[in-house]
Amino acid sequence: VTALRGAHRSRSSAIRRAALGAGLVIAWVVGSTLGVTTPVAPKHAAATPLFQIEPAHAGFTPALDGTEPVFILVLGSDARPGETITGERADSIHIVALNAAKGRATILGFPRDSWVPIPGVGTNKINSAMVDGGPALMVKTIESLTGLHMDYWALTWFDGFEAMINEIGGLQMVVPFALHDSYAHADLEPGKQVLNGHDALAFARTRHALPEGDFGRSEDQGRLMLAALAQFQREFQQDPAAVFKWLGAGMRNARTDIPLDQLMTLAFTGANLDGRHVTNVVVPGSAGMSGNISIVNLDMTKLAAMSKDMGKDGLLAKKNVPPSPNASLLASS
Amino acid sequence: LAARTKTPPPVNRSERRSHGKKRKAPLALIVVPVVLIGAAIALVLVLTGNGDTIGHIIHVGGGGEPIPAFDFKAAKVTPIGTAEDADLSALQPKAEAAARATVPVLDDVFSGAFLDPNNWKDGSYDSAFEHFSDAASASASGPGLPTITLGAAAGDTYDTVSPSKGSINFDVLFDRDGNAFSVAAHVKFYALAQRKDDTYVAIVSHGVMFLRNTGGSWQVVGFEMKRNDHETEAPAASTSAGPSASSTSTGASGAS
Repeated sequence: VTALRGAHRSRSSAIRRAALGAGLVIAWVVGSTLGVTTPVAPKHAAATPLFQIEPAHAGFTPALDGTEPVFILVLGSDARPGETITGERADSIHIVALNAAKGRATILGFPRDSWVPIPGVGTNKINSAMVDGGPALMVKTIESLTGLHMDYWALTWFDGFEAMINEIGGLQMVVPFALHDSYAHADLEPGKQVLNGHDALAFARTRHALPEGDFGRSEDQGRLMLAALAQFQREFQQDPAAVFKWLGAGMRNARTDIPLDQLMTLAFTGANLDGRHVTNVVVPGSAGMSGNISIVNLDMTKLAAMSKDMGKDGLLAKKNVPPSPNASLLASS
Repeated sequence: LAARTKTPPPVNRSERRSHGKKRKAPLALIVVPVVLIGAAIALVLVLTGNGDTIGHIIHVGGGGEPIPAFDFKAAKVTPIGTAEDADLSALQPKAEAAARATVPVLDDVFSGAFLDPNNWKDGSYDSAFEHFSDAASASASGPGLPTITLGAAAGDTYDTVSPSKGSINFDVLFDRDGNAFSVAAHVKFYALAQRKDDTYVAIVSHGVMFLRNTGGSWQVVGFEMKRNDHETEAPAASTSAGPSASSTSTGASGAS
């Protein structure tokens, strides 16, 4: 009986508490609905903050982080307006090797007149591989020459390159020495400047003003890539969405087999590369003749050593970095 | 009410029985109508969206506390084509549709990260990261937590948090087939937090969130976010009596 009474008291108490709670809820809802307000005196921030507030930053982008290097064959077609972009000679040829884990990269240029075996064709100038088989044969040729597997290729052309530079708003770079070359429409003074598409193309094409001709030009093309990387990184720091502007300008004016999602990942990876640790070199060699054709004989011993070195991690050890073909100009500028 | 909750004086059995009988009928009469009326009022308010003062509370989270309503305002939308012959005017409506689709995702993210008291009072923000990719979620809930959310110790610091305003500019990247591939959302989010010592902090979160269309739904795959919180004065007239509803003075932004 006592237990039952206790239970009865407990139920009554619970009902009272429920009624109290429900009453408060109803009062709050009705009061709120009718606009009943509670006057609150304005409060002012304390003269001395009681809490320390610091600006904060958090960033994450889906960049590559693996130890496996990524190799991309970057090509420039000699196609003029109206010509088939993939059916003309590739006069600009570079392997870009990216080591995301180390935040480093290598740009390895090949002179366009390099006399090399082209799979299924025979020995010829390396740039003719594109005429014979487009970017795919260029990839095969470079792979058989170096033993390095190309993960992707990307190809631009005269008009595409010029438009690309204009669409990113020009390219800021330090022109390392004066370049005056009527063949390339180049009339550039040394120093830091913003090149428009026309001038950037002229910089990329100039070889008559360089002591080592196409070797020096190939290095300068790598120099343009480094300037673009630096500018991209500056813009990314200010506004990470700049990556879209660069991807748009790049893809509208280039062809590639890199899927867009991978391209985005590569772009985010590039944003974190240390430009000071990107090695820009050209395969050494010497000018020669094959019959009445002027050619470049690559230094195959050095190329083999460089390829083997890059195959490990995409990077070149100091001992395998050849001297700059523009060294004399750089020294005097 | 105080009298009802007071411990009753000792009575004999018959008094106790008669006391119980006397109380039984009035309690039932009070409780049932009160609950019914309350439920009816709540139902009307939910269905009509009426009532300015509680209109900011849209739903109740898993922890049971109401979450202040918040909607980002979608501002400028810029399409970015990747096809050689990309026609930006043709891409514009598609870009706007993509932007619209990402707004509810970002509403959820920022509500979960800053406004849901069921999250910030516990310092647990899982619901804020439901729309994140695994990698982005790991970063946001790890080293990014103090910036992306109100922080692990917010429950010890704040009493209430209410939204002020939020806007987003969008860059929409298209693939070469003209499909919206990725969205860069330039986010500006402002809220007002009241500390336990009755001082106020303007919560300012801004930056870029990258979203990808993953099989029909948009997912946050990356972010570059900053916080610039600062001391601020109390709102001129805090009018609401409801919990976490002090946003009436600052007001949530309009629907996107």
